[in-house]
Amino acid sequence: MKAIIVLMLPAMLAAQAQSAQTNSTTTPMGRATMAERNGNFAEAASVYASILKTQPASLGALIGMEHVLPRLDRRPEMFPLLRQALAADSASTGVLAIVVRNFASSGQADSARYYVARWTRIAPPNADPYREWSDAALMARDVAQAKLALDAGREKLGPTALGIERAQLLQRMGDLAGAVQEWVVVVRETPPYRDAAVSLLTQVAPGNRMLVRDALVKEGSRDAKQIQGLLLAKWGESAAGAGMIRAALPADPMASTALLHELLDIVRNREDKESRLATAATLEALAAHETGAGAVHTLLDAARAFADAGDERNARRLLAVVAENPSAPGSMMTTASATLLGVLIAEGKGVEAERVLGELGSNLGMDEHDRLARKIAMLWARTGDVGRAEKIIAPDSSTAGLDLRGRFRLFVGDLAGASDLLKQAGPFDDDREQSLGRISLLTLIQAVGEDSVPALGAALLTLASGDSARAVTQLTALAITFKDAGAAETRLLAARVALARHDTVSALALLQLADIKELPATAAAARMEVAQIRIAEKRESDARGILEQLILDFPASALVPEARHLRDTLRGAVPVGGR
Amino acid sequence: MRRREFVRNGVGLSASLFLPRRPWVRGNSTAATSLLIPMDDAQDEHLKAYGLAFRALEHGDRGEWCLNYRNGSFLLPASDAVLRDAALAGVTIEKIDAGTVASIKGEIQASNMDAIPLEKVPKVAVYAPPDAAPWDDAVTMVLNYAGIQFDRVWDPEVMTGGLVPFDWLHLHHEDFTGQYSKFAITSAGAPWLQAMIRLHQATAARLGFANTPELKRAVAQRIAAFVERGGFLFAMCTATETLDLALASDGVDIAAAYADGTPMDPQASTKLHWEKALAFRDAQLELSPSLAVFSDIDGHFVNSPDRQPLGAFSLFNFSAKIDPVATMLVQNHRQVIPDFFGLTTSFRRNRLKGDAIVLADESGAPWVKYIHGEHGKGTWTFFGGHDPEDPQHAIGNAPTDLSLHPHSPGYRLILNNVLFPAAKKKELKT
Repeated sequence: MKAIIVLMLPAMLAAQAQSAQTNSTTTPMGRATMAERNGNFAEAASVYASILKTQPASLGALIGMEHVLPRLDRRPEMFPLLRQALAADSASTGVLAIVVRNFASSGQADSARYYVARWTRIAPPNADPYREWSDAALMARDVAQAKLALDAGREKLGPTALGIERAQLLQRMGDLAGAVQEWVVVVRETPPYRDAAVSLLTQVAPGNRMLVRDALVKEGSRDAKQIQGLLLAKWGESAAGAGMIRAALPADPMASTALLHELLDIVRNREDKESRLATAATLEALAAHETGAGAVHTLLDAARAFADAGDERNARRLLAVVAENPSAPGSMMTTASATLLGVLIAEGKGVEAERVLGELGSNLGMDEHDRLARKIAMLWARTGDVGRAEKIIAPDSSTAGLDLRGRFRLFVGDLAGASDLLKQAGPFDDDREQSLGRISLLTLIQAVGEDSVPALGAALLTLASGDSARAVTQLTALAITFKDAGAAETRLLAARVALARHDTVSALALLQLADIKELPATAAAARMEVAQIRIAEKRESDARGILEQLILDFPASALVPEARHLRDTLRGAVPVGGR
Repeated sequence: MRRREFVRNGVGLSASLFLPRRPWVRGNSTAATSLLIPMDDAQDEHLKAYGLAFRALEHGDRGEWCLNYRNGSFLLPASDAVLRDAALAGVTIEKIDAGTVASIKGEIQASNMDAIPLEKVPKVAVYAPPDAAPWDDAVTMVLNYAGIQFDRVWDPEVMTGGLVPFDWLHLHHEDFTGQYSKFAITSAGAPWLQAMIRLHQATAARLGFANTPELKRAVAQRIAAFVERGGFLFAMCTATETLDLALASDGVDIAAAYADGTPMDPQASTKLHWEKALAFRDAQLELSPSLAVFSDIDGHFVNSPDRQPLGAFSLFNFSAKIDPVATMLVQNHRQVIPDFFGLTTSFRRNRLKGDAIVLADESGAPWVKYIHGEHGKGTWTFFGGHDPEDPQHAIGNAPTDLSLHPHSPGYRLILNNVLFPAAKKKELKT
């Protein structure tokens, strides 16, 4: 930000200088500016030149010339003008800034250095001349000269001067250890720059991250550890990053809170378990810095994060702390109970969960109540008590409720009832995975073509209960009893379950049986699965052949575009992982 | 990934019921004698259509390129092989009978159109270092995507007569001034640059040259000789500008000290031999070794403070019957195309030789985008910019996936150049 402000400053000064003279197009400066805006650079240059004849140190005209001459291929004409400007006003820092910029951007480092020295003699010691020099060199992609400028500035102004600029430049030059060294000093002197340091170091290529880590470890200070912790979290190592931050918290409570919030901003929106646990632990640490209702609220958030991460033990521990806190308001107790309910469901305690849901009653919003009720219902269904499950969500006519009720009908083998409810739920859903599953089930029901098949329901319930091995056996046996379409679709489902279990042999056998040319949708899907298996086995030539046959045999299949893309990937025509 | 799962999981079942049986084949002719590959907006895969035509020629078929007819359509004999190939590639084809062919020919005869026989499979070479990534060169990418076979050649092959078997040679962002694209100072220390310098220096030494600039100049001269003997040259990005600079710099030191050990001759601009160059004249060289700009041939100066913004360029309209070559090179379904940067993005009008044909320019701008000309018995075509579908291309950018750009008009221009040497030579009048 500092660098941006520095860059903006000359521009703002220039704009002010110009605006004072460009209120009207009747003034020469107004005419020149208008010509420049209209792209009439030759005319603009001519008018700027006429101004400079009478006012050689006019900043507005000099900046105008600096803009238009390069566009006219007449950059060298700038230098005589700058000499005249300096002769007219050798003490103008504005003129000196333009002189330095022009020499730097044309690669004349010695001249730039000379005028920077002159600038520093007439102004109080500050970093602006060196920044101007370095920025102009960088604009011209002259990294070596930019470094020269910053080195000169540091020599003149002291061992920590221009740290931010040096850190950025060294990182750009690939000197990551040097960049880290500079950042640690900058952050130690001005902690608010920690954000900038982390943000820039985060961009280091994955292959070079170890260099940054090593450099931070070598630094070893608390500031270095804080930077390292945030970087690790940004790079996806949430647990390691959060652990490092908690071990390097500053003594000052406000600084400590600020650091924890920085960490929380990084990890809280990630959905992997490690990040959820890191979020929960960070929230708990934050709560320790808070008091009253704020602390209770943060603790509840921490408990919920633990529960979401599957860490019921820690979730219960924090909920107990909340329950014992006399300052916790009633609404928060409701939230605590709802969180506890989630923990009970995760632990498979259906009776207890149903009791807590009943106690919460109207204190919960309707949507939240229905969401928790569906979870409890699914818990009962998985235990085989589909009747109790259906009773709990009988009044739920939301999309998710209709979907689940349809699945429960299916579990008892009522395909007609299931089809009605699943169709009522429709093709759209907030949860995309859920809608994909629903479409698959409807396709299966349509293919089987019967109103009631209890054995299919039993197999799907087995699958929902997590016993995928038995589900494959049940589905495979069941397929034999169906007619072609139903058999093929059931085998396709069984194959996908087998694949998820890494049982490729069974999956391939089932897919082969599901590949019936007269059933194009199922056959195309089966071939796509086989092609994916061959790709995973590195049998790319086989995969390509399968994909080509899919395209040729089922040209109307919705899978053809994907098959073509996969084939293109295999023949090296498009990069892997595109789309 | 989720979209694919969605389709795979059965949504396609219902959608597919409404699709025709063979969606890429249009027309119901039962007595089809020919296949028309439309290249207007009816085409589903413009880029792969070129590959289809190319492979048909490889298989011994003869075809015709219908210039300006439905934006440069192809006419191929009806065969199972072409139908199968089209199905796999997703290229739209129309089955037509002899009467329809006659009607099309009549329309072509009466309009600014022409039907150019395609009968020879051009042998294609791409000039690229052995370690070049396939995704860093627009031509390699589009040849791969379209399924057109090519060979790679580099300095050792060029210097040992390796260009002789080829009809068509492509150059991309090679720096023929031997200055490593002038990144040697600004990207000093970058591993990719160090590898590039090591490879070039070792190759120069192996081939008996004192340094990289000397080797590259010799390579440029061999390439010019290839064109002179009748070869077709297509160049993009830096290769356009630096090839001519290398050719014009015979006996003049235009390379920075980091490349050849001696600083560039400060008077080099006044000593260049432009009569040896293919396309450009009177350019002023950029003197700063650290500025990744070679000369004032380029209008956009992408890597300098004077960078010019991108606009759009328009293709010129030529007479198909009088100028079939120029017409072939501009066949497209779009006439105005968004511009894209490269280390050399465009060519200033005032730096073009008088006999250079402008194929596309930006209206009102002092630069042009796409040029063509003859040299000896051969021709050259220069196209500014790096990647038509990655306008701001920067080192390290994600590779372009052409399956996301199957209708890319910019890439079509590249493929026009690949196919144009397949056209029967006696038809070429320009």
